[in-house]
Amino acid sequence: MKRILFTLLAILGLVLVQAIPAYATTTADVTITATPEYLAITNDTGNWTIGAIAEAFTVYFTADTLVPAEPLADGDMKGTLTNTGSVTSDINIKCANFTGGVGWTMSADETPAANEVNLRAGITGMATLAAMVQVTNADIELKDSIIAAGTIMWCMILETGTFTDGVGKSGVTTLTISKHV
Amino acid sequence: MKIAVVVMVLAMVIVLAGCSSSVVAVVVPAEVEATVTQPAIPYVANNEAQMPSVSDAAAEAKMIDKDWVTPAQVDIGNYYPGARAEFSLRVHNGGNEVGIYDVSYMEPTNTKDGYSMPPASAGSWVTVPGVVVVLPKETKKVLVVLEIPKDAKIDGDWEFWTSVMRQGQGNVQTQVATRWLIKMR
Repeated sequence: MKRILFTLLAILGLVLVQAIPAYATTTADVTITATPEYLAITNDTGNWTIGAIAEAFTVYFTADTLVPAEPLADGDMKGTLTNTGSVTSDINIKCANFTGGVGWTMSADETPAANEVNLRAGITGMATLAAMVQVTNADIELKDSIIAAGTIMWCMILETGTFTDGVGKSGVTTLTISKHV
Repeated sequence: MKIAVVVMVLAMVIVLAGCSSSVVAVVVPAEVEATVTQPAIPYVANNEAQMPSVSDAAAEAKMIDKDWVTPAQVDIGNYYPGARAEFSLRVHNGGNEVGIYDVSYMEPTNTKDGYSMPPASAGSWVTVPGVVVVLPKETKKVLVVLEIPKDAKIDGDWEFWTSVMRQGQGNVQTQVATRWLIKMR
């Protein structure tokens, strides 16, 4: 009888010991902190209208619509991007595939194939045209660490591949500003 | 003695009856209390005054004629699956016409040191209103909610972004992106 009682007590004790840690769980506070830093950007060239374009042809989003000199200089650039926010920021660039007809896909390299376009972006100070960034569907950094009120002057070059239709095309380029970390 | 045994057995039955197959399942996790007051969800315009956010009146007075978003970065700490975190962006329309802004979740282009790209499902964990309308020279709060399923497995700290873009721009458009840094418990 004593053995039975002891066994029951031991079992009960084990049960209670395992329960106690679970009952000791406490409320956890999620913390949220933020500083009033302001993100803002202006671009003084909101549109690029190209018009009719041939296959395997290159057009320039520059001050004089001609190929920029090397190194890239302010006088050849098309537009100005300004960090109008309060925090040092980075600017990234991307372009969605062109729509219309069969569409144009953004080429990942400088040799656009059928229904592809090669888009590159550059800023003042880049040593050569080859140093310009390849613009695709995914964001790529155009310039980092632009201080508040800082500006960069920029341009683009578009080269077409071959076409399988003659339907007009439309593409949208997006410039994103974010806090530099 | 027999009575004592019966009492012990009954006590054990009572204890086990309150448990599931796993003892730790006896406890219902306590409600998470964030350090800021959270409004009811879904987002209701007349709750805007209650939404947590940050501001600097002096800075904003100088920027009244510019479109801007604040904050640039939100740090969420001691976070864990099953918790809920809410904070508001503030979107300002510096123009002279009504502005319609697209607010979206986006994957980071880069992450802060120590933070990884978001898990593949992160986009479904973040709730944003999608579109917000802001009158000229006014500022609107935009609530962003992060809620991760209790059974989600996350390795380490991670980061996601939210973007705000004004509609009606040309084919060369701009947007701003706020960093959300999630430090896991």
